[in-house]
Amino acid sequence: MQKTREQFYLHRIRAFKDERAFARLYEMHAKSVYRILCVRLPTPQDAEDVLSITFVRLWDYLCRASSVNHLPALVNTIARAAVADFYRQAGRKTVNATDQSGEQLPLLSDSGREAKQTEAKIDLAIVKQFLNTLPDEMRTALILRYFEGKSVAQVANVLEKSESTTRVLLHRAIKRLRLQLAKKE
Amino acid sequence: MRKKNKNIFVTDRELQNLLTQAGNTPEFGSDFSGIEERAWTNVLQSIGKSDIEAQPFGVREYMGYIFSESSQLVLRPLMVSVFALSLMFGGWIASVNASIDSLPGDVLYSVKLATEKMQIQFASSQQRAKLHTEFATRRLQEVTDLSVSDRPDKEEQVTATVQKFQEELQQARTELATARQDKSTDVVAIASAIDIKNDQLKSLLDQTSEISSVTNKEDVERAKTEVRESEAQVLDTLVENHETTPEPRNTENLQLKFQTMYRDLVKRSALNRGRLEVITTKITEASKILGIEEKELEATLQDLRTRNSSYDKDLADAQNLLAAGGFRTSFEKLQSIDNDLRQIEEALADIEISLTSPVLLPKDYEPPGGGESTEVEEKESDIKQVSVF
Repeated sequence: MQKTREQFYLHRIRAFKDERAFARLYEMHAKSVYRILCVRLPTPQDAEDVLSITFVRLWDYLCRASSVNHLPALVNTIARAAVADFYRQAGRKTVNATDQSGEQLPLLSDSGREAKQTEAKIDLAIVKQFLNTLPDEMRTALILRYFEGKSVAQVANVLEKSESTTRVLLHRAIKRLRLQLAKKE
Repeated sequence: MRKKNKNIFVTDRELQNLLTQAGNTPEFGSDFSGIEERAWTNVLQSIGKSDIEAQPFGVREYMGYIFSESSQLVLRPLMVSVFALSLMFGGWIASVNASIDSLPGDVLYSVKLATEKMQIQFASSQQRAKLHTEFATRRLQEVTDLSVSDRPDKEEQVTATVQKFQEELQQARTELATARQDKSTDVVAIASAIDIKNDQLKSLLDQTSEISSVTNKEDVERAKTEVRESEAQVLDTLVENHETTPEPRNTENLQLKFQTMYRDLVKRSALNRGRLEVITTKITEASKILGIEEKELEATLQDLRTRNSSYDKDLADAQNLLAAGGFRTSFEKLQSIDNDLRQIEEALADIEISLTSPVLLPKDYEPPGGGESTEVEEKESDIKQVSVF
């Protein structure tokens, strides 16, 4: 149903340059894109700027494109290109854990209560750093699944993969993240 | 699912919880409400819009979408089919166009013949007769083109093509005979169509006759005979039709045809007279120079002269018969004169050829009065070659 709605909006944009339809598409996809951008960019303000750029480019593309089969993949591709442009223009390097805190962060412990307390205190910058070491697909899958709280089926739909493949992808992403944390220790 | 590894200090579940918690912080985009609006305003400004209506989409918009999608579903396969068909037919048409100028022995010649056969298959009786005469004209044109070409097998090809020409003309005549037998209303139209083509064929045959090789002269003569037979059949059909249903238009057509034939015969008779005079003059000159008396030849020339002159009266008779309404008799008279004139023309041509051929004389031959020959050539052999013309 969502796909049909999406195709209707795309038709309106293509045929009539209908901003109302584009507004609906923005409502449907902006938050997920913003989440991904927050992980990829140093500050929420940067994410907000790049989000605007992403949707302006999307509008330009949709007005010219003859057909778009899978919009989420298209939006993610445009967002990735916008992030690359952001770093290229500013001559900046990708974000890492020490960029924001400037100091080494505490490590996770395996003792039950202590571990929970540590989890609460863990620096978000480390999570961001580790997420950024993952391949695009894994990172997007984790963001959609755990940040956005989407089901595996919804994540699979965005990534254009089967549910089983997506499940395996998520499992490997978690495993890799865990190994990163272990190395940090 | 709770995995524990002594080298790794966090479980999968703990890591998942950690990610969920991180997702709930503003650093990871949990608070999107204000940002959503601000980013959207930026987008609108960038694409040159200030604000948009929050009006929902109506039935008309949805119907427009459904119509557009369904027409795409129908139109796309339709367009593909049209494109494929246009390619097929375009290719066929291109091949047919390319084959139009092909000659017997060419790769595309079979395409040309196949196209003609197809045209015949789809044509009506009247159209078939027209097409056969049209294709006969093509064959004759091919004969002309082959005659001037430098193909090694051109003589065989000319013979085969003349055969095809005859077949086409015979088929046209068969169509005419069938229409006549069935008393078809198209009979005059078919006869007229063949008649028009016959004139064209005659002039083409005259051209071909001039350029064809000695070997193919007989072929060309066969073709001429075929055209004459076709002419006779057409004429007979037209006269018969006029006799059964005398319509003013048919009468006019026949009168016109008579006049054309009449003028042609008068012209040919006058031309023969001129040729006879030239031959006689040349023979008289040659007799004086060579001292040879050609009594037999002179007698032949006299006979030809008498026969050629006698047609003046016959032509006048034919004209009178036509005026009296005797179409059949008048045309029969013209045809008889035509046959006689052809015989005279052939005889004259033979005499002209023999006179222009070198005459062999003994080497010790001396012409009377010191010898002023027109053209005498010394050869290495012991004879002299002399030409009258």
